Order: sequence, then C-alpha cells, then structure tokens
Amino acid sequence: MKFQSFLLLRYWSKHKGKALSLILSILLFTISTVCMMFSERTEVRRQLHALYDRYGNYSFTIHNVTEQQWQEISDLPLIEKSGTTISCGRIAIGRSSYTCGAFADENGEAMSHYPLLSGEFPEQTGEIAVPEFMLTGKNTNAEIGDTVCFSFTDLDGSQSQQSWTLCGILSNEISRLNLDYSYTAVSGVEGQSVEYASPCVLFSKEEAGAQTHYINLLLAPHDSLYTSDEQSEQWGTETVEPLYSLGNPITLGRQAFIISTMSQQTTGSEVYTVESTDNMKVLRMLFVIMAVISAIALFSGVVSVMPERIRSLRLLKCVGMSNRSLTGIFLLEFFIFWLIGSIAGILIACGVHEILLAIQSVLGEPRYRGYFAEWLVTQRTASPFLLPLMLSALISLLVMIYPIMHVAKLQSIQAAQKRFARRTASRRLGGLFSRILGGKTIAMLQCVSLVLVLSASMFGYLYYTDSGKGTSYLTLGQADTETNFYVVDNVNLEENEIDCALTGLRPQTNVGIGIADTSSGISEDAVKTLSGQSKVFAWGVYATDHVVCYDSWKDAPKAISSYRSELNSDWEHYEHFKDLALYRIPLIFLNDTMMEKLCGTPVAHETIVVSKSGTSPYEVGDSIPMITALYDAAQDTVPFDSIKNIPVTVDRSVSITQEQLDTDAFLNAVFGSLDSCAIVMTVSYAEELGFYAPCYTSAQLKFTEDITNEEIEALVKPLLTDTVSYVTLSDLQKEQRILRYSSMAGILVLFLLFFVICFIGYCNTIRMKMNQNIQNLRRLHDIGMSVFEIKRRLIWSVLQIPFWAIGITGGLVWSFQTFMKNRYDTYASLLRQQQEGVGNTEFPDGFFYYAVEEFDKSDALYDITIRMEELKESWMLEYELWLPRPWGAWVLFGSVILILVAVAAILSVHRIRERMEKKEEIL
Amino acid sequence: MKNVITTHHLTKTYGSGEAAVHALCDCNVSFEEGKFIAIVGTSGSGKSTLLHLLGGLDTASSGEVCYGETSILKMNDTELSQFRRRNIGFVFQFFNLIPELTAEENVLLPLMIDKVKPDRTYFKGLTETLGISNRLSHYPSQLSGGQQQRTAIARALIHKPKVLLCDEPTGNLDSKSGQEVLNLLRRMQQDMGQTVIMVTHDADIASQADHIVRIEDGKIVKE
Repeated sequence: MKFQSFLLLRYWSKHKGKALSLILSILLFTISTVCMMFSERTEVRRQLHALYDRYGNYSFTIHNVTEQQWQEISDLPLIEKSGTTISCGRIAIGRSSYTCGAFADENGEAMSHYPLLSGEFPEQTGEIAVPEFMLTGKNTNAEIGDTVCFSFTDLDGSQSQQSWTLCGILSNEISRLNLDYSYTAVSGVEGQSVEYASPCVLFSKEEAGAQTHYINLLLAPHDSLYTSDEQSEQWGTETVEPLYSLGNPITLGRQAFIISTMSQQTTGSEVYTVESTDNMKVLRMLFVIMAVISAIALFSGVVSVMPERIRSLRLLKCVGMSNRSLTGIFLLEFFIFWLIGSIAGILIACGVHEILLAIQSVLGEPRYRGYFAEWLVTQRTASPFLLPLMLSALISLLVMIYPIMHVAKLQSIQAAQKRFARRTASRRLGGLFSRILGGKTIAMLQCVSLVLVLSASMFGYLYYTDSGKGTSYLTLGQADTETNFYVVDNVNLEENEIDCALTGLRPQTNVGIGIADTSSGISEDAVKTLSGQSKVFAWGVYATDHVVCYDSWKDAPKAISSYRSELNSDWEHYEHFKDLALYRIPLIFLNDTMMEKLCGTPVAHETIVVSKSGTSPYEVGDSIPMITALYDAAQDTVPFDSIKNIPVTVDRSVSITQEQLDTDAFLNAVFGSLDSCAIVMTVSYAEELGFYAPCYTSAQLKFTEDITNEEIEALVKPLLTDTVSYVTLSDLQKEQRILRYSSMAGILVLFLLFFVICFIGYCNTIRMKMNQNIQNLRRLHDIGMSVFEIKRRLIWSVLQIPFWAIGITGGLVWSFQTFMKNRYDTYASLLRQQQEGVGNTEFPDGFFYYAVEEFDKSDALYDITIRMEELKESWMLEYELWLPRPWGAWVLFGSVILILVAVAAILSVHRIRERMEKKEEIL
Repeated sequence: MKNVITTHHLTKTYGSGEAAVHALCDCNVSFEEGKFIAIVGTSGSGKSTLLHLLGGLDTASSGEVCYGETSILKMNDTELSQFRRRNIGFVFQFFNLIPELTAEENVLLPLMIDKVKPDRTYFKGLTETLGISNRLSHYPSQLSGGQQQRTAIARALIHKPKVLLCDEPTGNLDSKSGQEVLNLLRRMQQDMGQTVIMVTHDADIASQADHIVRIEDGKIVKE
C-alpha cells in the first residue's frame, strides 16, 4: 500500500491539472446533488412550518364534540396531550368574519399557535385579544387598555355592537385567520363542514363559555415534532381510526400525516401529504436532471483521463507489477479522488445553500436550512450528505469499471495498444480533426446533458413566468395572469390609470326580494367628498336581483319574462308574495361621472332604462312596480312593515352598444354582463323615491396630480367603514413587483445552478480533451496548422455539441407540441359534441361541465364524456397550456447555452500555445 | 551557391536567472541551397534547438532566422504556420504521426490544412518511391518503425518544400531501416533539388552529408 501510495503521489504530482479536473468532476456532482437535497429539505421544512402556522402544534382538531364524545376520546390510548378551545361567535370586519373564542384549558393554549405581540390573553369578562390586522382593518390605533367596538354575531346568529377592553394584540402569524380560510381549511372530511374554525379573536374563558356551542379538541401524540416515535403505526389503528369513527368534522394538523404515511392509514376520505406540491415536484425533477448532467460530466472526466492513466499503468505492468496490484492502485486512486471531491463538494454546497437561503431571505422567505432537520422531515427526505456520497461513489465506480477491468486483464504492452477499425481515407480536414480529438461517446453524452439543461430551463422559465400558459376550454390557466392582477371590480386599474379602488359590501339579498341594510356599501357622501379631490367613477348594484313585481305574468313586458324569480318558500313573508309575478332586474346607481359616460350629461332626477342594442322591454313613461325591503341585522329578519312597493316611471331609455362596452372599461364593468335591461338612477334620486339605504359598491379614484400612496391613504381612510375596503394601484404594483422579482429570483437561482455547473463542466471537459490531445495538436502545429486555426477548430468541435442539442431540443419540443395539440384538439372536438348534444347554443362562448354520471350509459354523450375524462386525466393534457409560446424560451436559452459553451471553449483554449510548447510532453 | 537559410546571432535561453540554460548562444550559420547538411553534436549540445528554431517550431530569445530575405522570427503565428507548411518539411525522430489517422491521411494532412487539392500523380509516385503505397490505409500502430518514418517523410515532402528539416530521422530505427531512410532522403534531395538539414549524433550518417555543421554547448564550432 505504501508503494502504491508513493506511485500515485508521484504520478499525480506530475499531472496536477488532470487530477484537479477529475476531482472537479466529482466535486460538481456532489455540489449539485447536495444542493438539491438541501433544497428539498428546505422546501419540506417550509411546508411543515406553514402547517404549523395554520394549525398549531397538534395533530387533529375535532369539531362539534359532545360531552359523551369527549369522554370516549379521553379513553383512547396513545394520546399524550389534549386540549380544548371554544368557539362562541364571530366578528365581522369588511367582508371577512373572524371566529371568536377562548382556550378551555392550559393545554388548549399550549398546543395552539397564538403568538402575543403585546399585552396578555383575556382572563376577565369584557377583555379581548385580537390579531393586529383586525385593528388595521378596523382603521383604529387602539392600544392595550383602550376600548374597542366590534359587530359581534353569536352562535345563534344574533348580531350586536359590543365593546371590550383590548388586553392583548396577537401576531398576524396567528392561524385560522378568517372564515373564508376556515370554511375551506377546516372541513377535513368530505361532505362535512363546520361553521366555525378555531378562534383567532380571544375572549376570557368565562365570557366565551357562556355561549359555548362548538368545541375544538386538540390531540398531540408528541410535545414536539423533533423526536421519533416507534408507536406511529399503533396511532393509526388504536387512535386515529376511533377518532374518525366519531363522524365529526376533523382538521388535520401537521403531525397527522406521519401517521397516515407511516401506517399507510387513510384518514377519512383523504390521505394527507405535504410533498405533493408543485415546488416539490419541480425540485425533484431538477434534482434528477442535475444528477444526470453531473453524472455525465463525471463520466466524461473519468473517461478523458483514463487512456493516459492506462498507458502509465501499463508501464508498471511491464516492470513487474501484478494485475491485482494495478487494480489496487486504481481503486485507491478512485477512493482518494472521491473522498477529496466529495468532502470539498459538500463544503462548497453548504456555501451555495447559504447563498440561496440569503437570496430567499431577502425576498421574505424564512431561512429553513437543509443540513439538519426535524425528525419528521428526516422521515420524508433522504440524507443530503449520505445519498450524494453514495451516488457519487456509485457513479464513479460505474464509470471506472471498464478501466479497472481493462487494467486487471493487462497481459502485455501490445494487449493495450489502441486498435482502429479500417476505414477509407477522409478528404475533409474537419472530419479528420474530429477523429483526432475523438470522444464521440462523451460528446453524445454532453449533448444529452445539454438537451436536459435546455429542456429544464425552458420548462422552468415557462413555469415560473406563466408565459407558457394560454387559455383553453379546460380553463386550467389564464392567458393574462398579470393583467388580471390589476382588475378590481372588473376594471383594470393599471390600464385605466386608476390610483385607488374602493370596494363596498353589497346589500344583502334574499329570496328574490330586494333588501337593503343600512351598513352596506360606499355612501354618497364619501363619493362626493372624494369627487372634490379626484375624478371618481362610482356605481353600485342595488341587490343584483332587485325585484319588479306584477299582479300576473301577463302584465309584465315579454322581453323580461325569462328573468322570472322563484320565491323561496322558507321566507317568512312567502305567503304574502307568492301570488305575485316577480322578475329580477338590476337597479344600478351611477354617480355624476358615470352618468355623463352613459348619457352624455350628468342626470340627477331621472329613471333610466338601459338595454343592450335597443332591446329594452320598457318605453319612456312606463311604470315599473319595484319592491324594496330593509333587513334588520339585529333581529336577523326583514320586518313586514319595511317592505315597500315603489312604482318608478321611466324617464329615459338608453341603448348601449357593444362598441361602447368594448371601448369604455367602466361601462363594461357595470353593463358588460347585462342580460336584458337595468334600471339606472343616482343614489340621491333613489332615496327620494323611497328606496332604503342606496349606496355604491364600487368606486375608482383617478387623481389628477401625482399623488403618493400615503396621501391617498390619508384621503380615503376616514371614509372607510367596516364594509368598505380599498386598494391602491401602487400597492398592487408593489405586490406584482414582489411576485415578479420572486419569480425572477427563482428562475435566476435555478438557471445559475444549471449554467454554472454546465459551464464549469464544459471548461473541465474541454481542458481534459485538450490535454489528452496535446501531442496531436502539437503535431498539427508542426506540420503547419497555426495556433489560431487549432483554436478555431477546437472551439468549433466543442460548439457543435450545443448546436446539436439545441436542434434536438427544438425537435422534441415541436414533436411534443404537435402531440399535445392533437390531444387537445381531440378534447375540444369532444367538448363541442358534448355541448351541442346537450343543446348549449352559447358554446364556445360559454359551456357547462357535465359529469359522466349525468348521462345514461346508452346515451352517446356518456361515451363522449368518458373519453373526455380519460383525456383530461391522462398524461399531461393540462400542459397543453405550456405549449403556445415555447419558441421564445428556446431561442433565449439556446443562445445562453451557446454563449456559455463558446465562452467556456474560448477560455479553455486560451493557453493552448503554452501547453503545446511544454517539450517534455511533446517529443 | 545561394544560401537558403541564414541565422544571425541566434540565441535561445530556457529559464531565467541562475536557472537559465543557454541552449544556443549567438549562433551565426548559413545553409546552401540544394545541399544535404548534417548538424552534429553531443546530446544536449543544442542541435535540436537549432533545428526547431530554423523551422519556426520554437521562438528564439534573440537573433534572426532568414529564408532568403524573409525573417521568419518576425512573423506572427498564422504567417509562420503558412510559411512552414509551404516551404519546410519536418521529419522527427519519433515520427510524430497522428495515431488516429491512416497513413494516407497523415501524408495528405499538410495539404488539407493548406486547403490545396493533392496532386494524385505526385502522391502516387512519392508513396511508391517510399515503399508505402500498399500501406496507405493502415494506422501508424499497424506499421513498422521504418514504414512509419517513411510515411513521415512522405508527409514532409507532400507539398514539395524547399527545405527538409530532419531531427535524428534514423535515431529510432535499426541500422538497415535507418540506412534505407537515409538513402531515400538523399534520393529525394537529389531528385527534387531540396535542401536537407539533418540533426544526428551518428558520425557515419553525418559523413554521408555534403556539409557538416558541428555544435557544442550551443555554439557553432565548425561549419
């Protein structure tokens, strides 16, 4: 061994460059695989902590638990800890409602996730702790000890304005933020929903308990996630199944999926996993691609060095060394290179990972390092150190099998002589040069790796930028994601240069009767105040299905007969209205600016019937009997004496053309979806006529001067109420910028990794190729080929590979595109047949989804629908959305790869002259 | 007789400072056109260095190498390469054939580099004269030493150079093959009127030359 080490040392000290290249190949492979493993762990950790933010530190939340069920649960084995929280009602801010409640016991507090920013949790009746965003949404600067007033709805639906003393402010990181969230997140069992999530507004236990109706039970098999448990499988059978057998709605916390995974337990109707996100899929795909590319680089490196090395070992054989000793040298050599390359690779990968985390951190992502992870994560991900080390060892061994076998079989010098197949003489210098350089196998592998790099880059680009998405019948993507981003209430703020948009709550509607409540929408006063500062486009739709009634169907104009309203028999005043003929016609309020757009001049005291393309069912002078009613929120009822029948007389009839709708964003926003006609008037005229609480539901503010976001806020905020929210264009632009930059950063990091490895790998391979052929190159120079010509031909021989790769990728993309387009066309054709079969005359402008079950098996539409479902579920049909615009990305990344390889080639051949002049290597 | 190559104060030093090795010192020598000249000297005397400088294979530390009126050391690499492939033929001790190419491809390679169409009649005559016409499709590893050297000579002569520079062309061959190669070189020189400059340390071989240039410790001691 000592002698072998000595020989190795002597040989490689004379060939430091080659040794470095070989180590570099292993190093690159290790860096890429370790980085990818780190990234995977980071992503899993990120998701895990997101679960924590959402659900807290528990496994299950079981809703609507009765006392008896509570007893049953308490008797279950393997429950380490349990706690209860109480829900007692909700508080509404704007359009959202937030669950109120309290911890029922200490465990409830410990296991939930309620970070306090300041103050303390409520302990006495009359105290309240709320998340910070609620105070912001309420537009109050309330501090600890101040009195705060909210509209509270208890579990029986009774609403009242109540005051509490603010005793604590919770972080916005709190879980279970609002009902929108809760309704979707909480119902863990299909078909079962719960009205209330775990609370995010906290009362004292006494105050909440007085109205307790729902109980959340929290179970935690562990105090934390950071230890392993051998009893996971038992949880599944002894604990989880009985929980589900209770039949209550269940929310899964972050530990639940351990059980579902480790015991292969199907929890209820779903198996919970954290890995099935797009990010994870993309990361894994990238990991595989990077591993393949790096393996090819490693293989190229080893193969390039081998001929030289074998010649050297052959000489040792000649001086008496046994084949076994030679194999030993080879294995020792491999081990040393692998060790150095891997260790250095891991160290560098740690550095790269830190840089990636720093970039993510700048973009607001928490730093979840991938080196070590919670036990839970280690169960889901492979070791970022062990797996790459094993893989690099395996690949290194695989690529060395041939040379090792070759060395082991060495019989004599002649046995190892290079043999060539007979061939006729080539007449082309280019062909001869390629033969001199050799390495066709390596070139092919490099070509494959470049095809992978280019494909992955294109995929990444199209994926992250959404630029590959098109519109389709499948509605799986949106063509103009970025444009839609700026659309508020059907108006694109950016295109129309709107500085700020207000959105109000629409008046409540019920059972086909137009009902107002006094707390809804943007007031006329607010719009008037803002009109002094800016141009305001405001409109409101007063109960979208505002009711027009006639004594009988015959009295109604025929043109509106299709908009008949069905009365809900559950409604308390059903009996009174059931014999009337009711129709739904929108009543729309416009402010002066909008009236001017519609009529050419401001109109203050007129009732206008607006119809599309002159199909108005009413004429000027017609009387329209309209019903209005006032909703009493406190009583949750519509008092009968508030119902009024208000006949309005048509003063003006306006026909609105499609051209007007196409050219005017505001008219389009209000009247674009008009079916038949609408009755239009100003808010003040509606009040004069006797309508309850008319208001605007949308207002767009266009300031005439440059105005800052802060100034807009100062103007708008005093006018806001609980039911009115606002967004500024600059806020949206900022958000869009963050999204875009995040996407760009993601792409950049991805491409940097790809391209850096590609670049270094190429430099390395070209250098090795040059070193291996340096004698031949020198010979060419001796017989008259200039160094410039040698460099040119070397660079070209290298550049041919990316050219081939770009061509092959283009061909693959084209084939894939054609293939997918055929599938998509098939789907579109089936969809057309289906829609025509069901008599949808609006297709393709509108279409309806039909499940297979909706058709009889003997119906032709059944087979069509089955084929459609099969197509939709089959391989990557959804990715037809990636196909509309791949060629820009192809040109872009093809060029980048070409430039990178060219630069790598130019840099690598830069010092070729000096290399050729090293005499000891030449003659 | 007209001089085909003249050197003026040609010096070549490897390394610098105390480690400097003066391979060639202030060498002034001229070579007559159409002659068979031998450069002799002991190992390390600088004869190969001189030959490489004469052929533009190496750069001089100072001095000039002139072909007629043309100083090749002032040329850039592209000009020098072009000059070399058109005016100079090289024959090396270790043949320097490219193993990946057949004998025919090796021979024709200089013409391909120069983008010149080969004169097939000349090529046929040359290979027949050198006795390798039946070995043209073989790779160097499939040829004997003498055949490889004859292939190398064919490659050197394919573009009909004015000067043939031979660096111990028989050094790697047995005496019989060596003599055959020498005879061939002599015959080619006589038939084609070329100047042949040959480096050797073999006194017998040198004695067959028209002129002998002796070099010792990097200096011309006898011309």
